[in-house]
Amino acid sequence: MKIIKKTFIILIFISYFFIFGRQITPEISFIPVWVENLEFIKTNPEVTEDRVIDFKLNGKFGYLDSEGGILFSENFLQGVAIDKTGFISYSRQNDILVLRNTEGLFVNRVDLSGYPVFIQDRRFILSYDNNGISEIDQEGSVLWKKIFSSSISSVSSTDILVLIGTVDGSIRLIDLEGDVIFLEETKTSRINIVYGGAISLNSGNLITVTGIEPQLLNLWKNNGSGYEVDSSWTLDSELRRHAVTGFSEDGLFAYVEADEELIFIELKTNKLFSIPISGRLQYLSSPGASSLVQILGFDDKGYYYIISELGGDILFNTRLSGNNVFFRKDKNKIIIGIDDNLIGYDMVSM
Amino acid sequence: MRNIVFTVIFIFLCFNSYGFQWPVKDVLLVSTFGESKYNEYVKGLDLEGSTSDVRPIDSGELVFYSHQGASPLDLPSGLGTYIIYQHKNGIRSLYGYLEENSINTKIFYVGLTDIIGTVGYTGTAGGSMLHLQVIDTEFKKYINPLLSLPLLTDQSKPLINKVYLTSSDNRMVLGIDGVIKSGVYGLSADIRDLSESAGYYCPLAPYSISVFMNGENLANINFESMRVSDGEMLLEESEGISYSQLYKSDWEIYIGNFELSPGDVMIEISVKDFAGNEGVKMFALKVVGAS
Repeated sequence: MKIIKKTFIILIFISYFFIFGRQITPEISFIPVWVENLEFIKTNPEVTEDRVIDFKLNGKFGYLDSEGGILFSENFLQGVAIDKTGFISYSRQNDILVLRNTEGLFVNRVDLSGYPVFIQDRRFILSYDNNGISEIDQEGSVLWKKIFSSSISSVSSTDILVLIGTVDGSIRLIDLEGDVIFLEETKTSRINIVYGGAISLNSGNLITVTGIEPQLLNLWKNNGSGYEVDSSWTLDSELRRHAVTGFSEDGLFAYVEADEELIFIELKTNKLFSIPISGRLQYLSSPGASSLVQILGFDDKGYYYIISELGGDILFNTRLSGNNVFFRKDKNKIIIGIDDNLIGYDMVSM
Repeated sequence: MRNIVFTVIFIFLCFNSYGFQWPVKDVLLVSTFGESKYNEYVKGLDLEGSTSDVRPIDSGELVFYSHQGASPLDLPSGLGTYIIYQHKNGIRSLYGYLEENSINTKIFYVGLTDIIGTVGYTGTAGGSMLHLQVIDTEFKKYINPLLSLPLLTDQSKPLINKVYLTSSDNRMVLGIDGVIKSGVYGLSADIRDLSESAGYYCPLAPYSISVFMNGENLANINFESMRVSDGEMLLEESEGISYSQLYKSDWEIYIGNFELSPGDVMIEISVKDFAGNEGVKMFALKVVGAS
């Protein structure tokens, strides 16, 4: 009788794990490895350029290495466009722009007015009234210039193509010579307008958010001669502002910053995943399948930081104090900037 | 008397074809449509007002807004914080330079009395002001907002300062009279319409420029609308005029090329502002053979 009772208890115990068992979510630890206070910057001439990480925080910008050594730092006025090889710091109104390298040395003057935007190692200048865009090369020479009859609402780039969406509802793909190789004037909604658009790094897909009534989230595929809508979803809550769009680093997912949620689309299956967010997206790290999504957002309570599985649980969610926040992920290291402090962490999953 | 009535009705219809209202009270024009700014055309108006509240030019629907600095993932814009409304007949209006976080994005449909934002100092604004654009989405062109807004009181004539004649090998400032060799000359002029109510020097673009030679109308430039053609923003004329064609400098406007044949030539340049005030400058030239 005792044996039966013991066996019964063991069976219940085992069946509990079969019925209610689930994978234990990994525990993530942040191990601080360095801290820099931008008020007391000491530049480190030993830093070599191939290791530089650009930062922008609290009116300052510059370059540092993964150990937190600062190569260069300076204040900016209105803004700065920066990538790993150079920057343009600009004021509210500029007759000329000056391109400088990672050490802050003069590279060239750019004879254009407007605000610079650096995307995927390419450098663009948006005209002040948002209806024109130019590309400059690494030396600051103007490669091409395009003017549209409507304001530009989104720009996305690969190394050979740039996708431009405008508020009149047009989507254009422009090649390296500045020629429009694909033009689509959306006419599927009561009001036609482009709120967001992105092109995948291999140029195989586009993702767009367009229109009012309905507001469509469209996934486009390259059909050899152009692009056609492969899948389309109607967004429940219609945006009237720019929707951040993009593709994961592994190219397997597209994402859209919708209203109160971040939507991911698995390109292979067209399956949608959603991560709830509030306010506006400030930074997103999305390596792709079986990797963690890291989100920096800002809402009426301030900045917050989320780590989530794709289509799974939110593993970490915290508020960040401070009026200015910077975030950058570099492999398993993350850099968080709050006001004048930059802190480097090793992110360890256990 | 009949002519005066007709003219008054004509002007009223011209300036009220869309029947919009001013977005701010006690308007002060700071920049006007077609003006040269940052090496391109101004595609709307820059305004100051006695109050900071901004109302829509017509009832409409909010279709796009952008808060300056809302996200580093948004595009930077010289329009600063801006908002776009859709009105009837495919017309859209854009309000830029608004104060950060002042725009009301919760109400999608607005009436004439609704406050949509506050005059601000964002983007490339040179002070606390509003940038207004009117866009015809059906014909894909920017319209001079002054064509569709109530007429402003203005009694000062546009100024025609120096007038230049430029040939392939010479550039001269034109005097009231003089002797000149025959040939083809480019005619340009420094033209400014001073903002009447501004307490500071504030030149504006004219509304139209006409050139008459011996009484014959040879050129007209109208600052009414702009469209994009072949990748260039053109002032709408029969063939369109690009910024680089029109502006030799911020205020020197290229009017056209003219052939001056031997004989007496009377050149008349007429410049009108948005209120119909006309500035005229005349030149009596004696054109002699090139040899």
